[in-house]
Amino acid sequence: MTGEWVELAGRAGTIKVLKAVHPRARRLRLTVTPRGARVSYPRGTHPAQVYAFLREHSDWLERKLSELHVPRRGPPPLKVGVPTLIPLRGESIELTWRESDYPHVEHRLDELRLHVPRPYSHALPIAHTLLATFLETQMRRDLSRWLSHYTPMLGVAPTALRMRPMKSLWGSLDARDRVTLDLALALAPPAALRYVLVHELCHLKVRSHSKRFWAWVEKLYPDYQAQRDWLREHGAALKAEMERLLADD
Amino acid sequence: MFFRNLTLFRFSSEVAKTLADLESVLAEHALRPCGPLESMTRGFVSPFGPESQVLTHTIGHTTLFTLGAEEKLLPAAVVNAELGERLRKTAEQRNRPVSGRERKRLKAEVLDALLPRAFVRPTRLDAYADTKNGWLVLDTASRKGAESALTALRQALGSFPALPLAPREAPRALLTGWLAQGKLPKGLELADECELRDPAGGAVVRCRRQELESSEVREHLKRGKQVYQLGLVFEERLGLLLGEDLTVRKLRFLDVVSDTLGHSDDDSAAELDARFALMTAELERLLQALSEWFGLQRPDD
Repeated sequence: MTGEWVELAGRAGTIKVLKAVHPRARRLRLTVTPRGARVSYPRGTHPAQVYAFLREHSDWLERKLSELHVPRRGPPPLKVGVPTLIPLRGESIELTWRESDYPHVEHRLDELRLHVPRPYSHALPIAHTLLATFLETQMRRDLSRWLSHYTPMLGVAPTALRMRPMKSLWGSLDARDRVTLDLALALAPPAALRYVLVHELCHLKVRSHSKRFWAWVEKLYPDYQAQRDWLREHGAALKAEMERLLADD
Repeated sequence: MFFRNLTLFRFSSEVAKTLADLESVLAEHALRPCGPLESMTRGFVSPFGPESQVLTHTIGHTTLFTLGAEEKLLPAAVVNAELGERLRKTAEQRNRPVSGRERKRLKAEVLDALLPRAFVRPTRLDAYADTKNGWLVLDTASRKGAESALTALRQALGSFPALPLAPREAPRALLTGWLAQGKLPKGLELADECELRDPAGGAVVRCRRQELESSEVREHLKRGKQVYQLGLVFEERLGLLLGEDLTVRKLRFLDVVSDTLGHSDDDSAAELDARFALMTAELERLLQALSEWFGLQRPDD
């Protein structure tokens, strides 16, 4: 994300908003995602106009930030050699570092060991790759089982299943019937991942969020509402956690 | 007719029942020639060649079929050049710029004029369904080609919920582990080809005719590159390049397999029958092994 941060005085303290010019923007636009608040504006907009716009909408901004449970300060980024606690499948696990001939992950009962070779100057990008691959492996174990369970019930199947970090969504289904799921779901309890998978699979039957769609979701996964609520409450923290695990600094 | 590439899908035994009458179902969706104003037609053709009318060939629980297509070759540059010329003339005649709607109409006219004169490129894609083990095997490494073949099969059958592979083990991690540790599953050996990539930085290293256990390859792995494609030899009978999406490329049936085939060049149907029987028997073992290594579950019934 490029642009500069501006600070806005809110009722509960200072709010940081990312200010970015957008080449195709035709008006001012304020968005709130789990990554924080962002205002985009057309090239040539006077800064005073941007500030006035932000002040005008500061109450809305504060409300949305609190609704999304955006953490005021995210967890610190990974540091090579420094153990840290991370969530995995809804539980906390200690992430530790070891020196090794080739990079790999060792998953123990209550410990995740990242084996990285020296020199440690290259270790951080290697660790990101290792973690992303490991989390995908974890997700695939569950997904392959559930997928083979649900597709015969639906009578339709996706053409591909992909996992990657997503900014604001938990999953998507594209026009070519490919399901993409957010890698951060590997950190969530398996039930939440299961709900998102079922949600996307049901879009193969109904391409909207109509009543008919939710009826399919309920039929396949009756306890879906609890998982929706869980994601709504903890989703921002989960995405922030994912970002620090894969962020460059 | 040995397959050179494999793209795999899985289906349940309930779905396998819908393939019972494949010959007559495919006959309703046979390939017809591309008409003068059509850009493409798709349908099923005989695996025995253009002289034959038979659309499937079944041996035991495996059924071979072929998807054919006729596609007009009409490069966008040719269309744009012709369209540009007509737009220029029209604008000159009317002394004003051509509107969007007129432009669309002119483009349709250009296509109507050029399509009947375009070359027709015929293509065919062999595939077989293993109803006992629930595999749909397509002779292509192209994801797009495989998806369009699957779509054609779905259209013919009404519904065919075949699943793309959803491995329990992440293939990239497993392939990287095999190469880094040099410990391969029983029956598998390293060949002399691989593709390593840095998932974060995007750097790509492709090795051919290279000792894979050499220090150069190890150094790349040490720097965090992962295996995206790995050359393997299975049971000293099949050579293959296995991708991280579990697509098989460069499939070769080694001499020990080819030697078991007799020479029956005079009868192409018998030749195809023998080759298909041999190939499916070899691939059944390979697919079974892939299932065990990567955890490829068959959909529940």
